[in-house]
Amino acid sequence: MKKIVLSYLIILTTGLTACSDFLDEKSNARLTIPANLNDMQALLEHPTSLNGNDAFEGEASSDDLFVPVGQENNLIDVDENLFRFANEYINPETGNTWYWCYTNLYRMNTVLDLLPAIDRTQKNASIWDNVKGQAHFWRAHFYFQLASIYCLPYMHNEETVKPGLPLRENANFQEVVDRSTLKDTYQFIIDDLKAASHLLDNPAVHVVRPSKKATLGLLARACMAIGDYENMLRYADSCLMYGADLVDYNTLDLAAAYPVASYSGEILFHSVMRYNQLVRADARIAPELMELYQENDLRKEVFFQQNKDGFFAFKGNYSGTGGYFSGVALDEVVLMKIEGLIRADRLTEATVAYNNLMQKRFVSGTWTLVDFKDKEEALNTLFTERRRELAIRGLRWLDIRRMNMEGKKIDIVHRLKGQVYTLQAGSKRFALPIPEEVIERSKIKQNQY
Amino acid sequence: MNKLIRIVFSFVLCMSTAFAQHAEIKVWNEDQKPIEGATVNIGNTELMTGKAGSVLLPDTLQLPAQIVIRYVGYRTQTLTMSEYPKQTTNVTMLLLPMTIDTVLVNTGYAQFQKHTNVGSFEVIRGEDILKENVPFNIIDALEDRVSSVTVDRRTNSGSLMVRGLSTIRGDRTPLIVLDNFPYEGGLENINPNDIENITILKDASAASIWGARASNGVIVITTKRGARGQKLRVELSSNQQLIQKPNIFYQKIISNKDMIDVERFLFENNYYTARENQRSKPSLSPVIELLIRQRDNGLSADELDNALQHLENNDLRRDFYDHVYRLGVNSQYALRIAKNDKPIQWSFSTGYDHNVDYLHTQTKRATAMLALNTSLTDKINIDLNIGFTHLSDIGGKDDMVSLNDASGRAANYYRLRGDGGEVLPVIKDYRQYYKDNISNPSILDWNYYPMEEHRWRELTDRLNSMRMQVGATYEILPNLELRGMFRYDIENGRQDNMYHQESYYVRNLVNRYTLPKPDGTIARVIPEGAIRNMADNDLATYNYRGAIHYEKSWNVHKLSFQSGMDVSSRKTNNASYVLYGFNPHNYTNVPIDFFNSYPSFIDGSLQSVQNNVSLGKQVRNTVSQYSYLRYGYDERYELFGTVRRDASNLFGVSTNNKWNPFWSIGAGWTVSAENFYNWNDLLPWVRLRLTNGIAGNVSERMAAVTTISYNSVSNLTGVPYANFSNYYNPDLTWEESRTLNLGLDFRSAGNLLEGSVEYYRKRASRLYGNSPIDYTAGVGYTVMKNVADMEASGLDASLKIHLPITKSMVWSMSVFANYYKDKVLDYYQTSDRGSSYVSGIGITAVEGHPVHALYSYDYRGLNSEGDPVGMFEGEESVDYRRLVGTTVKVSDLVYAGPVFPKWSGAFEQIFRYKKWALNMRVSYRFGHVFRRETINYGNLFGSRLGHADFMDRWQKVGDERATSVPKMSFPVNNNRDAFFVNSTYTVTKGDYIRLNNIGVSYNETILRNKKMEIGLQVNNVGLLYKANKVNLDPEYPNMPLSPIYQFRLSFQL
Repeated sequence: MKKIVLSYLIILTTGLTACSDFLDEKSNARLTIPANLNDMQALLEHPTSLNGNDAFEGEASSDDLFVPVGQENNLIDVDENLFRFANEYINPETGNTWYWCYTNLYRMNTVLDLLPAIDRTQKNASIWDNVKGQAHFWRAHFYFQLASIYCLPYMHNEETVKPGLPLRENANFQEVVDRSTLKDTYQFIIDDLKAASHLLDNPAVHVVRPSKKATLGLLARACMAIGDYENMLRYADSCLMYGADLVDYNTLDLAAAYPVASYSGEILFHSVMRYNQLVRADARIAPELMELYQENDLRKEVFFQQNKDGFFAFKGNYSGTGGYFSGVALDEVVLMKIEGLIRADRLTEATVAYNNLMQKRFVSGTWTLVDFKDKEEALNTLFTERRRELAIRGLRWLDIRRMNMEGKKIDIVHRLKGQVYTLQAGSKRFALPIPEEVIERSKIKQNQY
Repeated sequence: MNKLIRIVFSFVLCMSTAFAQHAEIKVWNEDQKPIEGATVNIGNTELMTGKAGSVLLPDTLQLPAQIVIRYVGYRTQTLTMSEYPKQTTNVTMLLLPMTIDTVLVNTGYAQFQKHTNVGSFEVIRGEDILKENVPFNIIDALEDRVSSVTVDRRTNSGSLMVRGLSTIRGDRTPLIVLDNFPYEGGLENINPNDIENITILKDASAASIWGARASNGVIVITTKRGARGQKLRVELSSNQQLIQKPNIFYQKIISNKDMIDVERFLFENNYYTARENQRSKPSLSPVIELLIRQRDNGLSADELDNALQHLENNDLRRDFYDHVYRLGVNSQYALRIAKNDKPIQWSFSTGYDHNVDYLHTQTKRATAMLALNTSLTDKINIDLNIGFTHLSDIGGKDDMVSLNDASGRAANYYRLRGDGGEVLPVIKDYRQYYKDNISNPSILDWNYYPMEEHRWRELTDRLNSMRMQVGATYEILPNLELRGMFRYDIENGRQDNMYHQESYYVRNLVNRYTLPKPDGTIARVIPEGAIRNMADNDLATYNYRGAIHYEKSWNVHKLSFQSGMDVSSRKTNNASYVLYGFNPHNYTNVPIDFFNSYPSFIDGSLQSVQNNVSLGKQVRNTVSQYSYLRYGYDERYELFGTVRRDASNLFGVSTNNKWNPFWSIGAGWTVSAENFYNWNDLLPWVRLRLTNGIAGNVSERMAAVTTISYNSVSNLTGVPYANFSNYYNPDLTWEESRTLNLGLDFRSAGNLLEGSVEYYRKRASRLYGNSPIDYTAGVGYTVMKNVADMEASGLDASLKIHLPITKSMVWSMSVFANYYKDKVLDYYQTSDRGSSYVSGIGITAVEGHPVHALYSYDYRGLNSEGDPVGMFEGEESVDYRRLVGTTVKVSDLVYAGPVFPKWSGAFEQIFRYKKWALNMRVSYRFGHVFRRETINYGNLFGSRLGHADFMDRWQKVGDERATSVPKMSFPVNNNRDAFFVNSTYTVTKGDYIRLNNIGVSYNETILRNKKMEIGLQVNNVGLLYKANKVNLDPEYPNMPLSPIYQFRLSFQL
């Protein structure tokens, strides 16, 4: 009897040591504990989550779109609030910009937390650096998206106490993080982008992945947003060193549904705004914008189409689909360079660059060369050109914000259901309200109006 | 009749013929027939009575000697001999009161008689289930047949629950055990005719023996085994069911006229302009198309009115009812033969099912099962069981839901057939106007014909499964057995959906991917030809059990002990792929480019072909160790204890955390066996029992690391991408649940009355739940936390009455009643926003209230403008943004009651007269509420989901006195809809009494001793009572159950 009990116990204990392997078997073949560079890359790869979630709120709050009378009743209430510049309930409860940006930021923080545990060897160094660079780029990208929407305009030389974003720097989701200052927020973005620019290479595997030149382009944009024009020029220049071949719109098939093909040509980095009914289906192009296009300007046909109701609707630009492109493209970098040159009083160089761009936007032979003589005048021409060239890319919002900081006093006027709503230059409403649920659950401070 | 259970303890010492050296003990039953096989324990010696019912006493006895005599189903007798008997000692054994139908309880680990149990069980015999309603899947038939089993029908599939909830978030389905091992396969693989009985284990003694998955109850299915008798036993049955067409007219929908008027109104308000302008040409309803034509001068006003009038006269539901639906027919045939050919007991059974449902979907099942039991030597016993099942399912016609598309639900003014009976197309996916005006000759007919579509496709689903089980016991020492058991289950399933070139499915894809070239030719990304979608799903499960079992009885003691280990592994593999351009005649297919994107024919937007090729593999490994101990004293006292721990391969969880502990203890006391008990005349048998136990539960969410799950490969970079699967969450700890069960069983004199009352309480603490989190953290809207404590308690009562009226007339009734309630003791919810509580789906945990409860906005009727009025901060308000906004907390809502019934139960009556029997079953549910549907204007405009309440809407001043339905408001105000739809207005009482079935059967003896039974039944007869005034079946608010007429013929030869 004793023997039996004993042997039973032996069987049991030996059985149990064997079962530790048995209990460690993966429950699903697709599961894994992220541990190597492939796993890191897999986290940085999600095409819809990462490349398709840029903010559309800036576009919806600018003056390039309007809602025709017939469409007014179709607006869902958060979109209507957004369009009316309301001070609350402009974000849908689920899947809003705040949510998506921070969800993607968690990916980046996870990668940046886990990377140090992976040995950087001679063999894997370039991939290791590239992965790290991608994570820094994306982190900066999403913080920049958030700062442009939920924080006030800011100038790099400004002494300010304006609140910035909660800067989450690691993947510990239980950490409580309060809003930083706006200065720290932009410093963080620029630091991340600088780090990325040193780590990344050209070209990337695909334009959905960040590359060195895309990083430099985004750096130039970030510097532009905070009025640091010297660095804007510097980074735009560095970016263009890796290639500045603009596409001649005369070569495009204007009859095609989307004349510019996706992922090609001038695109340095592909991302699009998240789908939103207001900007995509309900709104039309403001007649003021359409009037800016002169005769023989090919862009009118490449970007827009006329609807049955007589209004123009956006056809598409650099996404190659109905999605609104908000990534980095060469034309934007060229325009930043021109602006930097003008601001640095290098008008001759600016003139050359400008004419070069415009010749590729007008029917061949119809562009009358321009000669920049006066700095102010040149800047005004450039601002108008930015509006024309970079229409519906979310950049008009950044331009209005920074120009108002420089005293341009651009008011944004929206009309809806017989009412007129004005977002006045200098209004605190240039920082959109943070989602109410976030305020409720985190106790961070809402933007004050 | 009263003295069936009287104690006639007598043993007689006969004093005649002396001098016999070997005295005998002779064991008799009450009818004075000798009992063979009774055990006689004299000191340490165990003897067994022979054919004549006698044993020889040994030569010497240690005096005084205590002699214990046992026989299954009889009361144990103890005699004390102070001297060596001179003559035969006659002992008359008395039947135990419950042996009239000795019920065996099978826990899956052990079998014992129900009357000695301490836990909480329900047992139902397979044949009893079949008598009333022959199900395809036996589990479907348990509701209202067995106490404490209910079904939560708030989701489409319906989930079975035993004794309500024991967890807030986790899986609520009970564990299914088939022949001693948990069963992972589909229950439709089991032929209901092969089932001997089903035992439902309800309390902690079950949970602790079956581990983690048992806290929701365990359903133990035991299949039929070899016959005991030596005669060949043949059972044959045929069962035919006719099922009425579904009553689609039960749904309360908006009238055609109203729908057309609404669309017309919306059209005039530019509601469809954006849709009309979309480049993707999304479909517009026939009404809108007509209105557009009229606007664009293609139609005169009179022609329009005429056309709309025609539409108004259509009735899509009638079309479906008359031309698509058919009467369902289910046929089931079963044969079983069994015999005891010593030393092999065997049984073979086979069955065939053929079901055709109202959409002509055909389901077939063929089963075969062989069970063998043999004793190789008197120490080794082997049990073998093999079963095969083939299942196939062939898809039928398109139902009404197939007509829904992005433009909304199929309106009732659609039409399937023209006046001449010709098949008509129905709008689908793109504008009909667009389809009709495509000039490109290469574009295939783009119309969708719902009545034809099934002809152009073959949707088959086939499954072959095999189950093989071997068990052996080896008696290594007296009273000590080694037990080993092994089972291997495999299922190979294949889904094979072929869409022929003529099907809309193929034509639509081919057209969308057609590339017109400047020279007028075209290229096709997806070739013409059939598209064949295939998916293989394979499941393999193996289970091992090794155990030692000790069982000994001495004097008045009875001890049994078992300790063992279970190991199981379940692997699922799935693979799917698609063949394009498939030619069914020569089995060739055309390769496709899945990688590149191509412009859509319609709007030029880029799209790539879905490749749908994937492989997947899931594994679940579990290990468990268990022991139980059972001790009985004199059939009066029983003690029972179990311990168990189990672990499974939770990914990312550290090994130490994988083990769940369980234990339980229980005791039983047959009060009526005590000397002081003196109600023997009234209730000769009364028993009390008690169990208490604890179960722990871990979750994969307790991962010690962050884990990711690979998704698929990016089309652009060719690199796979991954999502987070679990976040490292150090704060999570175990769930724990304690269950207490108290029971009282009784039986009246003469077995007229038999019943039990049980009280239970389940207290679960640190339950997992999703707790809202600030999504700035980046891990979603909620994280899993130990969020709640809950308590569920209830009473289960059952009573059986068996009343012989005359010799040939018997009336019997069986009633059970369950009272259930649960409440949340603690909920650490950080958000208490009202809007997340009003749906009634999901957890609405509020401390002190039931786990699943209905909360509503306070509805104060309509104001003089026809708008619904609510309450905001104590004042009447029509500010819907505020009324449904974030500042409204759950405490501001009106609590309407629990979603699960407080009272549920059923009663069955059988009236037998000679060879005839009349049976009837009635079930009821009381004390719960549900939310009924009403008009939601947003859904009406956006998806044509029109409810008939629209007719009662406010239309002019003064209507507010007569109706509660708000006026139609445009533009859509989602908050107003959300307020009204989730207000107290739609709270509806769920109480009902249902007549489940009624039937008659006739028994006849044929060919000497052979039995035949004919039964006619009507199932799903209907409601006898409902508390709601809106004529809804609370269980089936969308579609009532169709009545089933059943004819059953069975033989026992």
